[in-house]
Amino acid sequence: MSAPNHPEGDDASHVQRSLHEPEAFAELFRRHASGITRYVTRRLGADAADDVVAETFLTAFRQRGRYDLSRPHARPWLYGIATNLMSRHVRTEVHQLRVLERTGTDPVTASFTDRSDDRVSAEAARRRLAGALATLPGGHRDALLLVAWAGLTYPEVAEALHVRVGTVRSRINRAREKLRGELGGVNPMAVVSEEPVHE
Amino acid sequence: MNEMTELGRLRSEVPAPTAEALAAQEDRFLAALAAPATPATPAEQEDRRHGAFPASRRGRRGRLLFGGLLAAAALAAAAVLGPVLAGPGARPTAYANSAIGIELRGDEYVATIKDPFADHALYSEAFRAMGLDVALDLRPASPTAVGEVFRLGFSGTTESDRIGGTLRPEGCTPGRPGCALTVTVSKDFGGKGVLYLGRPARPGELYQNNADAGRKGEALEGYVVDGRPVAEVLAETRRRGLEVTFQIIEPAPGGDGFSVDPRGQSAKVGGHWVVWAAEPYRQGAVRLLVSEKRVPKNPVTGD
Repeated sequence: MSAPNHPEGDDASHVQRSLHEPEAFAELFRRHASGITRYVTRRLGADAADDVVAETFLTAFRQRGRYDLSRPHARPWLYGIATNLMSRHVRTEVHQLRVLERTGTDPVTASFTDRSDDRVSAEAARRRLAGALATLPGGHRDALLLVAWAGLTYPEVAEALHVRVGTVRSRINRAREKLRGELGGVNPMAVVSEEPVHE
Repeated sequence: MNEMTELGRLRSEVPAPTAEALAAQEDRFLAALAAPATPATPAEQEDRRHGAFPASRRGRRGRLLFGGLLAAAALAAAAVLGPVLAGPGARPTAYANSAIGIELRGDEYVATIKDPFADHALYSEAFRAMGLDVALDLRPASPTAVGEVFRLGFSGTTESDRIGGTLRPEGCTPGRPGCALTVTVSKDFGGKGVLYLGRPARPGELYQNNADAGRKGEALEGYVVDGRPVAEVLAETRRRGLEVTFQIIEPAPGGDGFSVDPRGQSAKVGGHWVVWAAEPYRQGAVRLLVSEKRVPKNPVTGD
């Protein structure tokens, strides 16, 4: 779509330019809207995602004067804003997870696909996982899903949620323990890289 | 399989948004980037005289007017344009078909829309004939937004390239003889442009712009809904013979802006609910933005 002449420069340069040329902010939208939309949709479903994403970019636009221009990538900032806006929908999110846990039918994905064999075989695990996610404290779920679904690194999650990296680490560790417990325990010897590496 | 792998698979079938969905979102976003920094246009000045909300105060419902175009920006909408046929050679100075007439006046091309309901291809054809890669997309608009730029897209342009739309003579009443929707394009316009412009609506057609229904020339002219109870506003709309549709909004906790839950629109709106804004909806109908709870600051206008 907009690929043919993708403007150069990091996110910060476009934020800076947008202070005088508001249209320049559209570049941030073009770079990040797809990823953020998918992330928010995955958490809340398509209906709520539409509004949350629109609001995310408008909020970011309004707050662009406060953006720390020493940070070249705006991803953590934008995901942080989206996370904040999603917190208004926490009841919807938890309710949908509970529905999935109870019925095996996921309100969030129902509109996207028919059920694949693969997913049916993983049915029980999926339901338990949803139940576990529903019981997590909001801040833990945010940190965990920013890593697992949005692909943010621990330092990026810390930036997005305005907490220290140590806090992110402990939230995620505890969230993972909870999930592991719900899934019936897995091989305790399995070694998992704590901080996923991202480009 | 560990819990992170399981988690990674949960809802992994949720697809990335389609190009169309993103383009629609971008439309909404761009429309809201109504830039206080861009030069005031005749249309904008017109708004001010009519006491409309300044664009910056309208938040997500603002309008994008035109200013110098940026070379770097490649908007999604530009992709709908046909191939660039314009060569570097001389351009003709006038062209007309049944839908539009274009002529060169001084430093700019002035395109006069003869038929606002024509097939959009006819407009493009005329611009192409002038060596311009400009597409026009006319959208039904409420009376005061006819001739207003909803949104524009451009690519391959420079700072000096300008494109815009308005009514001529300025401030005239659409539909009256001699009052025409016009589009101006700077003489040396070298990129691709697409212009979304308000046109008169047919009866029953929903308006695609957001405006203040209390503005001069709109259905609730002179009436300010700001914070009044629903029952009181309904008395006024009945008096004026207007139909009403509600949009239930949820004021943001911080007092800055609001959200709309598409699934929360079936609630019964009570007479004591608060009306924050009234917008033109279609001929003979207005949309009231309402919430059940009263908040200190108007979430729509920020006042």
